[in-house]
Amino acid sequence: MTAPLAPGARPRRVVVTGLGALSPLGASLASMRAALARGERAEGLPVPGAPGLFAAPAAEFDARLHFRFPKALKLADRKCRLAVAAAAQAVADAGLADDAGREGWAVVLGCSASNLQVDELARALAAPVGGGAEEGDVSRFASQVLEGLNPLWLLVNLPNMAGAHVGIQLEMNGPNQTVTGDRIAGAQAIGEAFLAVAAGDCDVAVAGGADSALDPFDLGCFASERSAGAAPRVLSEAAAVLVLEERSRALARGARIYGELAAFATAPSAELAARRAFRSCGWSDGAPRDVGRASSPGLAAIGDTLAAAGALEAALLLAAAPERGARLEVRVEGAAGQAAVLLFDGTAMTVAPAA
Amino acid sequence: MDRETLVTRLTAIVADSLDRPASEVGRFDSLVADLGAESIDFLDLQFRIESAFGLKFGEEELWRGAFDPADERFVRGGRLTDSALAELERRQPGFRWERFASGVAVSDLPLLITVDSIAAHLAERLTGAAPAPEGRSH
Repeated sequence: MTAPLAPGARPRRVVVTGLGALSPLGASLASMRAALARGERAEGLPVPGAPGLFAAPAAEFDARLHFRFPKALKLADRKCRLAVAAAAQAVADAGLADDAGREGWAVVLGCSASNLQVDELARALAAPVGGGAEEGDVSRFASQVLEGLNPLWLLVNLPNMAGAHVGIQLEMNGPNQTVTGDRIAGAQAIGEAFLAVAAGDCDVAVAGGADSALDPFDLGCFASERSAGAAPRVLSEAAAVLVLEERSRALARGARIYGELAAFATAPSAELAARRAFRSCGWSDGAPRDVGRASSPGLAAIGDTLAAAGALEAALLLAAAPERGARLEVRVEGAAGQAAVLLFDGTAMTVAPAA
Repeated sequence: MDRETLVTRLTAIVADSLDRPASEVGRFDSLVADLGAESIDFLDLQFRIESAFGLKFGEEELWRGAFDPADERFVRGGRLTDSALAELERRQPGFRWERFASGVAVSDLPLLITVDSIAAHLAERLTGAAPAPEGRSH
């Protein structure tokens, strides 16, 4: 494991060397980009009883291909399976798939909180209580719920499982974190990984977002939130993962570099987050200039991917081979206005420079 | 339910839990040593057996078909006695006992769990010859 920076030492530079993603428009970043180039959109299937709400599942993929220990699949929900697949793709894209030396590699993923497999919980609660149960008898209630649930139920739903599954299946034993939140979680995860590599906690990190809005209970919640006459909404699912690497390590191995991650900031508003991010990397005195704003055109066509949105946006922007010196901003806002901003410096090179 | 049916049903349950085709789950395969089962999988198996056979089944009962570690006749100094081993070899002739040429310690007992050993105990539970567990094993 890399020793953290000594006090006063400069943060290290961090580059992106691998990308992986799945969404309704493709089970790989390449197929997704091709679909977008053809003008395709994720339309989804109408959600019964919820006019204007549509559900678009990810393109078909076989999670088992990426699970080194397939018996863990029974503990992996949809977003965890997407996360492992995207992370495996990103590592392969970085040219690191055969790299057995993954000591200390970090995993940081962003997801929404689980709905606790409410259908299984409901089944356990619906079972008849043993005779003599009194209202308010908490211990009897608790044992009824426990007896009706597979003991592994909680392990499927713990908020840190996306990071755990990626760490286990890809055999990365460094810092491991899952950021559980709403829309900004994936971008936050990339930011946290960036800080970890910059500070010297690790030399390589896989970071991104994975989420699925399509569990029937979640669809019901989204449906109940809609007001009459609301615009149509396509809910979908996706995962997008970046490989972040300490810059000199990437250069030394001749890695293909998509871009350099220059800054990360969160704040209660997008305006504040952007200002903070720009200041931290010195691109301006706070007012964004010369920046190709994000919200890549592709993202709207993919539907609402919740916590994966920011990571997907980053992957799409970087895959478009930004010119050297092109500045990219990924800006994601959550439901309460809180925001995360990532700033990337494009490189558009297929062979890393010598120095 | 006859023993062969029990073995078939348990094979399917174990195969499902460990994500393997049923054809790869041998009746005398060690769930741990041959099929890669871990303690987390025993929790899953306990629940699946309860659901499939409609009875309360304690996780510790997965061991019981192989051997009851509380049985003082068969344990000495943390290891199984020769007579205990001989009895186990008689009960599970298809098991690869050569792996335990130097004997079986109490800590080795999880390695002896097989579909056959679980079926043997389950048969006794279903006929009432073996008692149900007293509490939950969560």
